[in-house]
Amino acid sequence: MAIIDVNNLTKVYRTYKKKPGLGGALRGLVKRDYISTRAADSISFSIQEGELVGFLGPNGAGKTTVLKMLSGLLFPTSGSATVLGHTPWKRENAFKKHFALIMGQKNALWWDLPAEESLDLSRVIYGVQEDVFRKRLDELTQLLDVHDKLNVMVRELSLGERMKFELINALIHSPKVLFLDEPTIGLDVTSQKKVRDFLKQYTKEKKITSILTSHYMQDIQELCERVIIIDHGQMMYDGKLANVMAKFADYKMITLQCEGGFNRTQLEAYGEIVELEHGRARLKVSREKAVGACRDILATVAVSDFTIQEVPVEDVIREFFAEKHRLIFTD
Amino acid sequence: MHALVSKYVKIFQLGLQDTFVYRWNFFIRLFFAAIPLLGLVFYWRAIFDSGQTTTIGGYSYHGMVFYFLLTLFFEAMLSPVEDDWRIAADIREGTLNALLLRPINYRAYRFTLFLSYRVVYAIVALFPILIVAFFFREYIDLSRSWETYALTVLAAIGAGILGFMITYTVALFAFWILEVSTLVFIVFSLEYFFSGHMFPLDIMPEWIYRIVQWTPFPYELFFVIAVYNNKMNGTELLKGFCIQLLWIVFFYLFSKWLWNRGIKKYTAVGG
Repeated sequence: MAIIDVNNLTKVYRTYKKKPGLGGALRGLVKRDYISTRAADSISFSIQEGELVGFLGPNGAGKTTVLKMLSGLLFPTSGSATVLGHTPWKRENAFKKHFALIMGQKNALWWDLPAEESLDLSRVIYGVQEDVFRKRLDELTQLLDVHDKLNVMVRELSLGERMKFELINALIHSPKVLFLDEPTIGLDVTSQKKVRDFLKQYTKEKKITSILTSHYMQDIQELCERVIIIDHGQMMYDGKLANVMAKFADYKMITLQCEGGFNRTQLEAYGEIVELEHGRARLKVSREKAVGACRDILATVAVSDFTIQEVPVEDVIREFFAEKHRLIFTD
Repeated sequence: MHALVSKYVKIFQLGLQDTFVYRWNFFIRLFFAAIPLLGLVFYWRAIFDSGQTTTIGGYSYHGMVFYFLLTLFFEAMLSPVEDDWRIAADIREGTLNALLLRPINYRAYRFTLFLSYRVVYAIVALFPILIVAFFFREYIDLSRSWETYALTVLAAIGAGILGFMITYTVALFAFWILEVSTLVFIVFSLEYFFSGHMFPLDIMPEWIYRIVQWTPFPYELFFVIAVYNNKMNGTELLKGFCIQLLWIVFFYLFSKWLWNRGIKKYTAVGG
């Protein structure tokens, strides 16, 4: 049975459109023009136990709107959803006890107190046994490497440390479902990696069903096998990230350095030339031809340096959105 | 039940610690609250000196000074300090989201914090109040029957709860208006005037006093001092307690109604 089941979930915001100037403001008192924005439009999917699904899409695409509806913070305009068998927006305690939402830009910890106090408050709010709490706290602080920071005032922690405690705070009642909205936003590369590795291991080990949104493609790439792509409130894709990559990243990038320069026509035979200046060339070569092309180039050109790269996921997604009007494809 | 109690005991403890960080704020604020008191004392001195009578509205000069000392004391013990700003900030800044998602009742959460703030404030207030009391020691008359003390405590508890309910209700308007400070200030002005901060309400003309008695404001402060000063007899006393209770129930229901509508709006447009 699916842990999260979403059917035709739709959210329409009605906002008042103000005409410019004082005249517009006065006219607005009498007659108002409303514009409807479909922040989420007939979204349907289901997620099985233990899956970690990534939500992809540009800013304002509707990712957070969907997450908020699934958390119970927003009433949908129409459609239905169940999470762990509950309708989220009824906000029943039975649901709240098995669920957590982390928003990277909001904090739930008490600013002027050590993190341990906030964590202890979560313990009593969720009714976690003292010994179970201690064990979990030890485990989590060890994994995230913040066990020596428990007694530091939250306002004195670094952004990375604070995010780690936010994570611990959200996991202390051992939720079965976890929603992560931009959990690594603003973190430095090391902290990002730490948080990412932790999420990967922990959600797998505890079989936590999770949804993740992130602007960092690396988060999505490393954590989510399955992605749901949303744009303008509509679901554009639901399936394996690898399939999107195969469809839109069916080429590799080859970069060459050669003191003597290149023969343009020779290079054109292998693939598209992205960049060509004195002593340096970048080629876009289709996946199946890549190995052969490398062999030929190395055999015929006196290259001094040579790299072969996968296309960055960012580029793939950009390409995906660039093509979306012509193509909506399913897995 | 045990779990429920420990939940709010913990919130209370956190509230204590959190507020204690700002103890110097409280201390200084209270200390300077005593300065207008000096002004009032000189003001009444002048009135009593110029008049022919030795009492005004049943208050002697000594009684009047003691009245203002009592307002300072009960104000320090009872009135909400920053609760309205904090509640409004929860709504405006979206901190409410995190609380809505947890198995917890927001009103109970806020009331518990209000209690803990009161405790810290009262403790911090003790020192400046003792200084002021020492300075005005000749005006203080604490001889009352134990019944009067018991009734005063009861009235004070009612006043504290009423004060919280009014503050909570006003703060909930943050669901609709971005900046509640105007509203907070309007209510504060009404409270300041009609709760007996500026002068004892019973020196007003009889017919005005009668009307004011039906508003909630006297029951936040003046009523408590009136009970302490044995200003009311049996039926009047009972009527006072009943009106206080009615206003508590009114603001409880009103805030509940506001909350339900506010939450609906909040969760309809997102916070």
